[in-house]
Order: sequence, then structure tokens, then C-alpha cells
Amino acid sequence: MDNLNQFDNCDIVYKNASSFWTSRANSKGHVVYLEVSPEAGQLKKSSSGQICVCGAAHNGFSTDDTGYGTDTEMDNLSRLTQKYDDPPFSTSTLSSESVQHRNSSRKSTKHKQNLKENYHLFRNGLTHEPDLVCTCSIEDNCDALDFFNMENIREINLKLNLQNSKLISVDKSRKVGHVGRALCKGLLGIVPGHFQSGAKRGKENGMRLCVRGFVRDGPASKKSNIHIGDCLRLVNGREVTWDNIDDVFTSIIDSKQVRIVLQDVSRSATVPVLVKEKVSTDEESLVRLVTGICFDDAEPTEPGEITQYSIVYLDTEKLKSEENVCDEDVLYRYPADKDHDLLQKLRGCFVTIHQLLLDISESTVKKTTIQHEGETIHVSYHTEENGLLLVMYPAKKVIPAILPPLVEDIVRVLRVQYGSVTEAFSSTDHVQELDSFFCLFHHSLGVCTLQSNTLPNHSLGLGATKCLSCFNNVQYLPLYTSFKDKIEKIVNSFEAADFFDMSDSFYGCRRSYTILGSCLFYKAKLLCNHLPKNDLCDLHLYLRYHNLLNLSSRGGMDQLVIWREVHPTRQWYDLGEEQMFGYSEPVTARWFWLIVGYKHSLLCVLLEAGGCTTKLPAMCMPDPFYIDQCRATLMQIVALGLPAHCDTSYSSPVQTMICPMRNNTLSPISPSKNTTSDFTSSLRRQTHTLTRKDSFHSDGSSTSNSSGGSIMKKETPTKMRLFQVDYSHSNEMAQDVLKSRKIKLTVGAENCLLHFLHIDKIDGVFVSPTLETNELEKDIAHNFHLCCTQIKHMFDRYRYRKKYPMRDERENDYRIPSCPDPSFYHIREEGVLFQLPQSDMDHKVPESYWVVGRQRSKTELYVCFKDGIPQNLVELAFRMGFGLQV
Amino acid sequence: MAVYVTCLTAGGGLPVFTRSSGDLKPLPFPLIGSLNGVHMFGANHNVDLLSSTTDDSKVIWKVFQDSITLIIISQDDIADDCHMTNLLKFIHQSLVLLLGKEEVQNIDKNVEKFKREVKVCNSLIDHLIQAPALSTFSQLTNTVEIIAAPENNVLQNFLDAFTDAAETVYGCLLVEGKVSVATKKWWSLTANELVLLRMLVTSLSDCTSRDLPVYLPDSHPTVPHRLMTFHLTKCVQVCVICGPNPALAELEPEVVRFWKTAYDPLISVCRLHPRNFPITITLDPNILGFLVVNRDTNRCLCSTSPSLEDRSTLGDGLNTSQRKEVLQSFYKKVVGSFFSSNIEGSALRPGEYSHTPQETYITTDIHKCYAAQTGSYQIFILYADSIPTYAMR
Repeated sequence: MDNLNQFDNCDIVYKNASSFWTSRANSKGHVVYLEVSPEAGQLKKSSSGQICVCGAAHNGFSTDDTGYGTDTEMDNLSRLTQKYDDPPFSTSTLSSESVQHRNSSRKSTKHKQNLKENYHLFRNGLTHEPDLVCTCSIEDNCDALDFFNMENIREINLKLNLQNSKLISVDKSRKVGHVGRALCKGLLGIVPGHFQSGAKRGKENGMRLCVRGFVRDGPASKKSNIHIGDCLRLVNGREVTWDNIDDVFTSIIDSKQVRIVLQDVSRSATVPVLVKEKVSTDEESLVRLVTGICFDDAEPTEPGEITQYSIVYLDTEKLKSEENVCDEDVLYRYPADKDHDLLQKLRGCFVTIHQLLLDISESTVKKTTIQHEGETIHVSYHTEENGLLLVMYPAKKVIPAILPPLVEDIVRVLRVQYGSVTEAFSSTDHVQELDSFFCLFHHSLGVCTLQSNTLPNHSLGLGATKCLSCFNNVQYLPLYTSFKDKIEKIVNSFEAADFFDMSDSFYGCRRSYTILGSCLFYKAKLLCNHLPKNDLCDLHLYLRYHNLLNLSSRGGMDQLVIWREVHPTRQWYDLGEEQMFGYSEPVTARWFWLIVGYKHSLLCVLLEAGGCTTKLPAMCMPDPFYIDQCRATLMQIVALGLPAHCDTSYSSPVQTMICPMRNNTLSPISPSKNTTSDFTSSLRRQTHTLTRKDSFHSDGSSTSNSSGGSIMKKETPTKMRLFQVDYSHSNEMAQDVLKSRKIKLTVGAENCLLHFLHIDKIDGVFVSPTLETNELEKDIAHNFHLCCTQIKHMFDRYRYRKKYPMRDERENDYRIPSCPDPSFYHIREEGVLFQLPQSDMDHKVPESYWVVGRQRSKTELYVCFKDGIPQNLVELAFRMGFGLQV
Repeated sequence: MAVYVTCLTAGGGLPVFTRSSGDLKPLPFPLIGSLNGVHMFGANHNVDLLSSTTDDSKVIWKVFQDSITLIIISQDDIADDCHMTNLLKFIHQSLVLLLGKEEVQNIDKNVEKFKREVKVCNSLIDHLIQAPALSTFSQLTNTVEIIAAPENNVLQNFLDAFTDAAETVYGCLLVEGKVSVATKKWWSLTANELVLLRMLVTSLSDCTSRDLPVYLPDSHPTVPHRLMTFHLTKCVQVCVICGPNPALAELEPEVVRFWKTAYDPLISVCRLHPRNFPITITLDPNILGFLVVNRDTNRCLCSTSPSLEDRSTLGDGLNTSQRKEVLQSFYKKVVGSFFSSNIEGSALRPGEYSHTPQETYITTDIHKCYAAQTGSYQIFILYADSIPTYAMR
């Protein structure tokens, strides 16, 4: 009964969330809503520039909408005290009306608890005011101010909310600022926030506290002279900053009353910033980025240093016109800093090169290399109609070979978002969104401070990220069949859009959207996909370059809802050229993405409007019903124990897989230390057809491996049990094997497959090296990815070269004929041997390892293995890779 | 390979010459002007424009001595830019070789005169940019090709004696354009000079003897020397570099005196071509060709017909010029991306790897290539496709 009640509680939420989502939509009906867990900085932001308030009034818990409200109201009241306890779930006592549930929420109850928990978290944030208040313009010179003489300084005595102080455990191990934040909220009833200003966004340390909001019924909310947006300067005479917030508030924990000094900065327009310092933590800055709070200055440029990277979009028509006085041709520029933009100064040069090479070559220019103050910089181009998009990156940040693909990615995301590149840049409405996109894009490449701070060995870490990104695949995590089936079932039932009484059809009206398909990500890995390849690619690129995958793998979000209209890539390519026989998509259709996220999981849905659904108004507001259904589905999946399942298959060095790319799908596998047997064990779970190979393989490994006997023992029972699918066992085994192999690698025994990367034209697999434990492995992974990029580049070049474009014979045709070098046609395999530097006093033969790529018709496979392992094992690895089906 | 090379004065952008290889129509002047213009525009903004790439072509700019700008437009070779830049360097060096550094430096004083004078370089430049099947590995590897003949020891004595008579220390014996023997001092020349002198000799039309003023670009870029070559037999030339003395007429009779007794070894060395290494060494029949580069001594040895019975006549696989092309492509691909070499800038991208690449291979349906490096040696081997991949090492 208790459970049923909770169902209903959710239902209420669904019914009444409507106003919540529509109020959060921006002018185009798009929603980007992200709520992060407190650890990640308590930033809540929607695309419309407001903090999303998840308090009772919005959340559907208030009584006026539902009529069920009595208990939820109570819940509201009791919330404050529950804040740091585990909230009890039995607060609602709903009646028999709750007998009917939605189909999708029937299977499990746990997810509702999660959901509810989630709502509790929502409400904990309580009455946040719109962020706009905090963004009052702020400058640098505050320290010079003697603020006691100023009229905007107020001194206030507050009685502390002592009952809260007991509930807050002073756990020093938590992140800096966390305890202080909690105490500030609990004791004073003030929700502390950050000030932000153009130059100093993202730098927490030394920053003043801003009154972001009040805790309901907290001491502060009773005072009329404390305003949101005020700067909290002194507490009991001590200066408060984000640096010492913990100290200051723990020191007042036992007092009954404090004296606080507030400064009204909105009037004085001065800056309460003490010190400029670096971004406090990765997590926080990432969250800020994703939420768009700070987007234009994540990477502080050194004074005098030319901007590291930049993006400019030009209108070539305007450039040509005579009366182009003040850079009218530049439609968009990122970063917006005018003085340091090398690219903008040189744009004439690049436009000319672009024109010239059209005369010389059969194809358009892809890349130009320049040198500026000793630094090599690459510029890549994309042209569309009259527009020219230029992207500049220094060579040390992006490998030259992958810059053009990156630009293609940008173009693709822009097209998906806006319909076309021209459209994206020509409207001034998009500037802010584009700024934030490019900043995120930049971060997703791992170019910015974010990554470089964490990785001491800067350049190395970058390489791998960069290379991976150029594969442009979706990382796929294979799961055990039965568990995968469960997920598929849930997703399917969601896609069927049969929501019983909750559905539109129940009330006799047409549904507003058709669900075309959906896919599920966990920790940035694809778990299941019901989308066509191109759509998945679109989605994946969007998620990746908006850092959402990154964020989800960190698990820093409590709640993510994205709703936006999209222009799928397939529409771009076949604009109604040929009428397919049979079903064709409605011409007038519009497509929408709905992405919901919770912790590590992301559920993405492609919705179609038009066709059989009701006609939509020109401006579509997000449909709260679908959002909630989608959330419920995700919760249901999470409740299945998704994290546990995934983490085991994730941490066992098993695969993660990648899926499609542009016109052809690739899919690499590369478990960081995927030994052959690990690989088999994972394969075994996927296809029973591989069993024979498997047994063959284990024989193979035992012959060449000194400890083969023990591995044999472990494997044999599994083999016998193959068709009973004993997951836990096979997992253990995989881990055991991993451990033994790990030791082996370090002492340098034989038979180590270090990496795996499988690229498939139809769809593919990729296992990322998440187990990078030491420098050596990082190096190997780095080299592996770098090398794969080059080999793949070779493969691609010679594959696409097989068509000979017909030349149009013209007078004065002085173009370079494109007759490619025939040397490496039908390239099959390429390998490179790397030698490890010899450790000092090591008398052994220096260790070395191969990186080998092989392609067979539409599949590519890359393997990294130790030099000296028997050839038959290598062949086996390749054969298994090619036999792998996703 | 279709290539345009354009030379302009760096100061004024006046065109000096344009050479092209392959079946190409001449470039219109506005195009050349614009290409130079963008480079100058960049220079005004303190930016050095290096290269531009399209899917199938590549443009590279480079300024030498602040006086001339060289622009090369070619097909994209899917290799690092360093090879093209190296080619431009050779073109510049060949101007210095024949005209002297000062002449190139002061080009702005009298451009018209320079344009007339520069015509002497045409054959050498054309030789540098000609089709890969015809060219040799010298300019690619920045090393001089040798012929490893067992008779070399004998010939060394002949050469030493002859150079003494010519009152010089610089002398070498070229067999089919490959160095058979040379004096110690000759080997002490820089790699550029070695390659260019060799290229110069082979680029010129055959004649029994010649006397040519040359500037050694690295060691004596301003002092003219005299390069004298004498034809000994059909494919053998002996070269000496000397000062003002002796005159060509004085030396000509000496040639017969010194080399007549060496006729037999010379003929047997000639027979080694195009195998280029002793018959006594037999290689695996799967090896279609190889290239060995010694980076310390600036020498390389190449052979594209190592087996005694020529397999290309049997119709399977590649003929010798194709083998050469493949080896060249392979070299270009490997050096600059995995291996570094003497070529300027070739160490950049291999440096991105945290471990040193030691070996690499490529297999295709038709052939297999393998490369390895140890110390200063690099070896590139072309195999037939019948060899198992693991056996290539």
C-alpha cells in the first residue's frame, strides 16, 4: 500500500508538472534544465537564464492543482528538518484512487523512491531567486572600498536555527565549501551563491558569498532587509569568502545569534571579489559550463598571448562589397575578444586561399598551417552558400589530421540544432547559445583548463581524448543478454507510447508526438539503441560536444531535461529527392529530442510531430507528459540495478562499444588491458556462436602462457556452463584474469593484448581504457590512440580514393589533376612497433609492443599487443574481432 | 606527380621563374600573384603561412634568405609536410649552388639579370621535381645513393691517385648516378651538397668532360669552385672539385693515364646496376626492393631488382619503376609520421609519441612494406604479397 501511494505521488507530479516545464522553455520552446548534486556545486540553471526553482509551488506538490495536497503540504513543512536525514517515504497517505497506474511504472517501485528522493532534493534547494539577480555587474575594485561608510551596507543580527545545526554533520572530509554552505543554509537560512562577472566566472576561491535565496522559515527569510543578490561580507566580524566559509560557519555553530554584514551590490555595482584565482574544481567548472553560467572565459588567456583557438563565421559576399567598413562580414566570432583574434585579422588571407585553391585543385581547401610566434597553428574551413566557417587550433592541441573531421562534427551539430550553418550564425538570437556550444565543444576536446588541471602530463592525456573523439562513434557497453532484454523491454514499452489512462488516446484526442526511437546511455556508454544510425550519431555528437556525456560519466547531475527541436542529418542529405516506395516520413514532420538524465544515466528520445499526430503550433512548448513518462522510464531502468550491472561489466575489463559515424559506422573496442581471454569471455556473453573459438582460444593462451594452467582451470567451468549464462562467475573470472595479467604486464611476461579497437562500418564497438592505473599504461594508451588515428587516416584516404571524379575539360585548366598515388591501394594492414624506454639497470631485452590495424571490407580492427606473442594468438584476436556482432 | 614550383622575389613579389612537371598548363600570373599575396599578407601580421591542404593537393610556401619566396603546388602525397619543404630547400640550394649565395641574396638589385641567369638552374630544378619513378632516393632521404660493389676498394686507389693529380681532395666516382667511391674529403661535405652535386651531374646532358663553376651551398656559399666531370665509360663519370688550377685541358689527358687500367673493375661495377649490391649476397626471393639509409654517413643503398632472375618479366606484381614508387611513398609515409630523419622538421610528429616507434609495416593486396630503424640505420623493404606478414621481420 505504501508503494502504491508513492506511485500516486508521482502521478500527481506528472499531471501538474506542465506549468513547470513550459515556464522553463526559452523563446523557441527549448528546454535545457540541469540540476546537479550538491557536491557538484548546487548550480541550477535553465536555458532561459533562470534558476529552476523546484520548490512546492512549481513542483505540483502544492494543493491548489491536485486536490491531494494535504499530505504533500505536510511534507513540505517537514522537509527542512529532514534535509540531512534520509527522507522517509511514507508521508503520503493516498486513497484507492491510486489503483490505476501507468503501465510503465508498474514493474518496480524502487524507481519511484528514487524519483521522490529526487524531488526532495529539488525542494531542498527551495526558493532560489532567478539568477539574474546574482549577475549584477561586478567589477574589480571593491577592496578599495571602505564599505562601512557606504549606505548600502547593513548590519543585521540573526537568531540561528539551532535545530538544524545538530543535523548537519561537520564532516571535514567533504569538499571545501560544502560544510559551510550547508551550515549557512541551515543556520542562517541563507542559500549562499557565487557572484559572477565577465572576467572572473568560474573562479570560486576568494569570491564573496552572494545571497542566492532563502530557506523557507529560516531566520533570514524573516528579515525584510536581507535581499537576494546581497553580498554577505562579515559574520560576527569575520570576512567571509568561499575560501573560509567552512571555518566561519563552523565557528558559529554553537552560538545563538550572529551579527552579519551585508552589502547591497546591485546598487553600488562594485565587485566583492578578493583574489583572482583558478577554477576551484573540475566538477564545478564543468557544471558551470554545461549550464551555461560561464561560457566565454573558461581558459584565461595570458596577457599578450594570442587566442589559442578561435572560430569565425564570415559572409563572403559582404567581405567583397566595397562599403564593408567595420568587419560587417564577420557574422560570428568566438571567443568574442576582438583585440587578440588572430583569425579575424587574417580572415582575408584565408578567404583568398579558399578561392585560390578552388582554381588549383579539384577539391576545396581543408586545412592551412601557419606559424605565429613560433607556434604552429592549423586552420580548417567549412563553406556553405556564402558563408565561410573558419576554425583555428594550435597544433599542439589538436592533431592536424583530425581537425577537418572536427569541423565536420561542428557543422553537423549546428545543422542538427539549427537546420543549417547559415541559419545558425545569421540569427543574433543564437549567439549566446553558440558561445556556450563552442566553449563546451572546446572542453569536450579536453583542450581547456578542465583537463589540463587534472592531468599532470598534459599533452599525453590530450592525445587520447583527441583521437577518440575523431572516431566519432558511440561508445557501447555490452551487457548480459538477460539484463539487456529487461532494459529493451522497458524502453520498448515506453516507445509504444501506450500509457493507458495517462495517454492522450485515453481521452480521445490524437497524440501530440510519435516516439521514433530512443537510446540509453550509462556513464557515457551506449547501452541500448532503438534509433537509426544517423539519428544516433546526431544525438551522440550533441551529447558529446555539449559535455553531457562527460557530465553523466561523472554522475554529477541529479536531473537533466533537454527538450529541443532538431533537424536530423538524414533530412539534410535526402531532401525528398526520391520517393521511397511504401512508408515515407511525413514531409511536414518536425522532430524533437527529449533527453532526460539522472546521475549516470541518460535516456534520449526522438519524437516526431506531424504525420499521424496532431498539428503542432509554430512554437512547440515541451510536452510535460512525455518528459515525465520519459523520466519515469529512466527511473525504472535505474531501479533495475543498472548502475551495479553496468559497473561490473565496466570494471571488468570488458568492452564498451562504440557505434556509428557519419555515412559509415565505425566501432572500436579497446579495453585497456583486454587480454584475449577477457575478450572471449565478453564475447561469449554476446554470441553463442563464438563458443568454439572460445575454447580454442583458451587452449591457445595456455600454451603460450606460463600461468596458462590456472587460467584454464578458471575458464573450463564457465565454458561448460555457457548456456546457463553464469554471469557473476564469468565476471569474477574476467577480473581474476585481469589481475593475473596485470601482474604479468609489469614483470613482462608474454601474451599481453594491451588494447583493442574495433571499427565497423555497420556498427561497432569500443572499450575505453578506464583502468589507466600507471604512467606506462597511459603512455601506451596514448600511443595507441595516436597511432590508430594515423592508420585510420591511411585507410580512409585510400578507401575514398577509389572513385575517380570526371574532370570537366576546360580551357586553361591548370588545376592539379587528382590522380592519387596508387602505391597503397587495397591496403589491408598497417602496424607500428613501439619500444619502451629501457628502465635503468635493466638487463633484460627492452620491451616493445605493436599497434596493428587491419581492415576487412567494411570493418576495421586495431589491436595493441606485446611484441613476441605467437602469431596465432594475434590472428585469433583479429578473427574474434571480426566475428563480433553488436 | 604533377608539381608547380614558383619563385618570386620576397620583397616585391616579382615572379622569377615557374617550373612544372607532369602534363600541366602554365599557371596564370594572377594566381601566382595571389598565392604570393596571401603569404605577404600573413607576414605583415607576423604570421608565417606554411601550407594549405585540400583533399588532393597541397600548397607550401617558404621564404629563403629573406630574398626569394618559393611556392610549391603539388598533389597531396598523404605524407608530412616535411618532404615538400625539403624539396623546396633543395630548389633553393640549387640556386645557390649554381649562382652563389650573394647573387640570390641581392636579387632585388637586378631582377631581370637574375631571371636570365637563373635559367642555368632549370635542368637541375626539373630534375628535382620530376616524376617519382625517374627520380632517385637521394633528394627524398637527404642522403646520397651509393652502389655497393666489391670492386670499390680497388677503385678507391685509382680515385685517390687521380684526385692527387688534379691537385684537390674532393673527388668521386659516379656509376649510373650512384656514388661508387669518393675521397674522404668528399664525404665530409654536407648531405645537401652531396645530394645536389650528384643531382647536378646526372641532370646535365652527357659529355666527355665538363668544367662548371659551382658554389658549395653549405661550406663555401660565396666562393666559386670548379666542378669537373669526365666520362670514363658508358655509365661511369668521375668528378672532382678544384680551385683555379688545373685547367680542364691539362687534366683531360691525365684521365686516360689514370683510369685506363681500371677499366675491368669499372665494367664489373657497371654490371651491378640496377642491383646495386654484390651478386654474392642472395636475398629472399620475396624481397622486391629495399632501401637502407645511414643517417650518420649520409648514404643510402637502394635496390629494386635484388633477385637475379627478374620477376617483373614473369608478370607477377610490380615492375621496377612501380617498386620504386611504392618504396618512395612508403618512405614518405613513414618518415615524418613514425620515424624521423635528416630532413628538417621530420622529427615533429614522431615526437608526439611517448615511446619510440621502432618498426612499422603496411600490407596491401599487392605488396607488403616493412620498415625498421636501429641507431642511425633505417631500412625499408618491399615484399611480394606472398610472404606471410609475420615473416617480414
